[in-house]
Amino acid sequence: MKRSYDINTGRGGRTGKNIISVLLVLYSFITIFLVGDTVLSSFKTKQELVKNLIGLPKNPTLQNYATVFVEEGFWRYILNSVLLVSASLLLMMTVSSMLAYGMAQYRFRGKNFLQGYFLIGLMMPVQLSILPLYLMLSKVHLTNNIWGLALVYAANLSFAFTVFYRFFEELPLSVIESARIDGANDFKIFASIVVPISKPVFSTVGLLQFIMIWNDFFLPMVFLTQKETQTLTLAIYSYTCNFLRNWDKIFSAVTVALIPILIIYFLFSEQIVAGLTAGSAKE
Amino acid sequence: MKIEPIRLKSRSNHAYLGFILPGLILYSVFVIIPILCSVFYSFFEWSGIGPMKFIGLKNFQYLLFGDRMSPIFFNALKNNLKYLACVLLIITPIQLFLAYMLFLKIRYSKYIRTMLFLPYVLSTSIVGFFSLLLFDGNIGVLNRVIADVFGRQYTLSWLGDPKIVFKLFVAIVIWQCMSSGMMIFYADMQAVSRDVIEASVVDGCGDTRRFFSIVLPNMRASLITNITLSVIYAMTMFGLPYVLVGPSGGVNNSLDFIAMVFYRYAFGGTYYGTTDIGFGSSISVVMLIIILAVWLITDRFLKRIKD
Amino acid sequence: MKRFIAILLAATMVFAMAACAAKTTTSTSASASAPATNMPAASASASSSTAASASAAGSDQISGKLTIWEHNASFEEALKAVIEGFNEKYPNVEVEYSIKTSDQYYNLLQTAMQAGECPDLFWTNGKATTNYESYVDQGLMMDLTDKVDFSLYDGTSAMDIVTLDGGKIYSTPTAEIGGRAVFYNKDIFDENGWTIPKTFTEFEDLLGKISKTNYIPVSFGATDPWNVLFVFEPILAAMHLDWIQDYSKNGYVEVNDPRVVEAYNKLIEWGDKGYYGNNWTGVSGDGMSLAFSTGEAAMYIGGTWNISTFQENNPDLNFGAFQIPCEDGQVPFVSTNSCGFGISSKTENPDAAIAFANYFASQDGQSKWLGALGSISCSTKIVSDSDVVNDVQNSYTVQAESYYNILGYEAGTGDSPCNLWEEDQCKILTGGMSVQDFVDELQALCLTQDQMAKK
Repeated sequence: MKRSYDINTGRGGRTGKNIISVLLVLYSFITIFLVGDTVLSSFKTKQELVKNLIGLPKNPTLQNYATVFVEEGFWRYILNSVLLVSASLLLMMTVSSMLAYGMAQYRFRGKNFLQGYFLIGLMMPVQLSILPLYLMLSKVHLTNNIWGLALVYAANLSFAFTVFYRFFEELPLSVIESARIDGANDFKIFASIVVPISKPVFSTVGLLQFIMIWNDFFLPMVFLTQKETQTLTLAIYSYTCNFLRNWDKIFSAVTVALIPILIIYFLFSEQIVAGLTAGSAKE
Repeated sequence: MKIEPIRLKSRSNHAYLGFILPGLILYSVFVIIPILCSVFYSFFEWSGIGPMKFIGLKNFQYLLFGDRMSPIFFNALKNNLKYLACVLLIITPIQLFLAYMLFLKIRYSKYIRTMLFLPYVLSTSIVGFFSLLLFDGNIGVLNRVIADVFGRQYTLSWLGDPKIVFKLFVAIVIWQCMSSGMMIFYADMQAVSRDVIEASVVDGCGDTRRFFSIVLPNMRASLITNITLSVIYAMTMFGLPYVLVGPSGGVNNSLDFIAMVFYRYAFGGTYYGTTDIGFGSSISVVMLIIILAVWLITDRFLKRIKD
Repeated sequence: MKRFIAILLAATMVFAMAACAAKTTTSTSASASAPATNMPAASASASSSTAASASAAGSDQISGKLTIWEHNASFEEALKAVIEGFNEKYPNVEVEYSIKTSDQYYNLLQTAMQAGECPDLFWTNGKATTNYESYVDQGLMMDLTDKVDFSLYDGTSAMDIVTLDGGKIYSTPTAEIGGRAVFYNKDIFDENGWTIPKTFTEFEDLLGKISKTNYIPVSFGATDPWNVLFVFEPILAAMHLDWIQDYSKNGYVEVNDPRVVEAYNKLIEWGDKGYYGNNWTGVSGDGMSLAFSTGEAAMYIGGTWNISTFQENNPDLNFGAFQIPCEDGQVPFVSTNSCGFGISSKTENPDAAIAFANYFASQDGQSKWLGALGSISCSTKIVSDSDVVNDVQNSYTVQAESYYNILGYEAGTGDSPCNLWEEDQCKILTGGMSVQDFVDELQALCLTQDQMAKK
């Protein structure tokens, strides 16, 4: 059980920390300016954008949002993105955590080799892989299908695997041992003991992977060719390709795209901070 | 305490197989097979469709020793290594420092945490737009502010200035991508035992000393993870320079990276476009070998530090 | 365990070989004769002049789905307009389009072709790249020579880009002439009493005058080689029209000719004199356009396809166009033709695809296409209602070939000089390479005069 506490040395460390704090707040103004400008600009008409790119909108209008939602049907894209990311995350987190746990708990020769094996996925540019991937998926008729793409995303588990693996390696065996003596089977141990202990890691990896998959436009562009299955990021990308023509719509589209991510972030960051019983796992 | 994974009796072997197999199969089919295909293609002269002509190692010869390609390739490699040095010497320490600051709960921690993380959430095409907004030579905000405050002659061309473009690039990377590593460090710091920390406070231990003697040694997992991943991401850097300066690699190729060279030569541009999958594959195979080598060196080094 | 993993990896390798080998078999498949067998009499028949009336007879019978791929988002509106017009004639055809980003377009197209999911209609760049001929050689494209009515283009050079040796045509062209022009902000010009220059010296004087005010004379950025090309070519045409005309007369000209070097040096000289503003090396393509459309810059030199972009970006912008004149008063117009869509030989709906190609190549279709793009037309039958477009169309006296195209025609058999051009073009402006070295290396990759004669 965790109580929040304050490490306060009171030895001149406090002024130093306050200065750093202020500097960081000043630094955050850059982000506020950029994101804030995006949001404000989403309420400006084209004519106003030309004259007044950075400033408060003089005649705020909701026209851009209307265009984006009504005419272009962004609801559909948001739904698709949410579906895709949920499906991929579900698959990926299950598969990669189990993989890492199995590898961490079991000793065999060639372990080092397998560690490298699972990192190779990060070392190759994705654009070359699409030809074989597309051929494989089209043979099983999974192109243009959210599940097919979710499989591909789930397979790119190098990052998740690495984080989980290092973490599981450091888990103490005492808890697991006592559970096994009590007669629980391996899977039950994993699900009911290991996972709850690892909540911060799950949350961190989940959050970071969510962002990576949500912001990816290349794989959806390859595998989801029909307009109905398009994702939000892909829609925004097609706007930014023709930036000058669409810039009034881009601001509102980007603002809309930010909202789900921010929601997920606020949901997960509490998990990460809470730490929970992880504190007692390490001695 | 070093943990010894136990060698299990045959009965339990099957359980662990059940854990490992799904991931192994999924990964091998969707990630390893395409890589093997690329290795295969690299020995051919092939545009991506149509007849494949076997040419053995010619692609590699041309890439590494050819008059025209090798300066481009090695310049890009140099940039990658330069960037790698920045990551290890500048970015990772900053991530550690900031994670520790947040751990110490300096004032406005929650707000700062969110604000530091927010840029990571933006997709790279938005970052491209922001760089236009800020750094454009004519209409960028920075230059306007400088012109108003200091005078027109002090304006810079930012991404067009070969002397500062790389430094500017690292600054943008820090702004956008630093927080993911920081989050990993932060999560790991949270897991350090409370009792030890409280004991150190009671003992009057200063923040700095606490960091080096207690927190850091317990962060082995995240340190190794972070450094491993950062090293690999540094060698495959592509998305950000692409949106900032396009596939040509920036002013005098100063932001050219090997993944960029790959992209340019594998796919060309649509207007004179010959996709050259054979040659592109050979570039990516060389990339793979280099990155593997870099990773192996890092791994040995980290292992030595671990003990 | 270890043995198991070894077996797994071996199986993976075998699978990999199979996957890689799979696509080589698809490339030797059926040739263009296949669609001919399922073409009913009602759709577009052999003779070109009756094609239009014949298709009208079958417009209700032609149905099904069509997928079209375009390579650039800037053509989306135009494509939508054409599809709308097409659906008025053929209401039972469901047309779906997909825009793939420029860089990855051919990669994605080839992937789709190999998976057997090639779109019914797709853009190619015709003879300007090797892909077109390579796809034709592999039998992936339908022969359109007798199936589409190209009469709109009689008397123009629009068909050159799609006609192969032997007279076969596998793609529709467009009626668009992609030209270069100097766009100027009429309000700024009126405000300062500046007029359109009639000679090259007048143009340079104008630049000098503007540079003394707060406006940037010419909006220009050195990050993208294409933006540089579209400013360089008008300068070359204005300074040394004779070099370009040498090519037309003799069929060959050296790309490192001193006249070319002079034109490049002029481009750099203007930068040094501040005619592009202070920090032009750090300006991207979008930044270049924005500087003009927001009124920071008085002029913008570039492609005529930007006309509609400017209008869309800032509907209140009051702008016109002129060409950089030669010293002797001639007004050159550098232009290139562009390519439309080809039909996949494996399309499942050949009737609809051919009907679409016919519509696209017709006056009605091209009017819609050019109208949405705001582009210059090669055919006098298509009239624009945009002042700027008419400005350009009426303001020139002589057409000039593009430097880049000449580079392509004279390309040798080794590396492509176009490839090298794209890599090194911007370096001459940022101090990475001298102009003489640049043009010399381009010439080294080109054919010599004798080799060209033998071609």
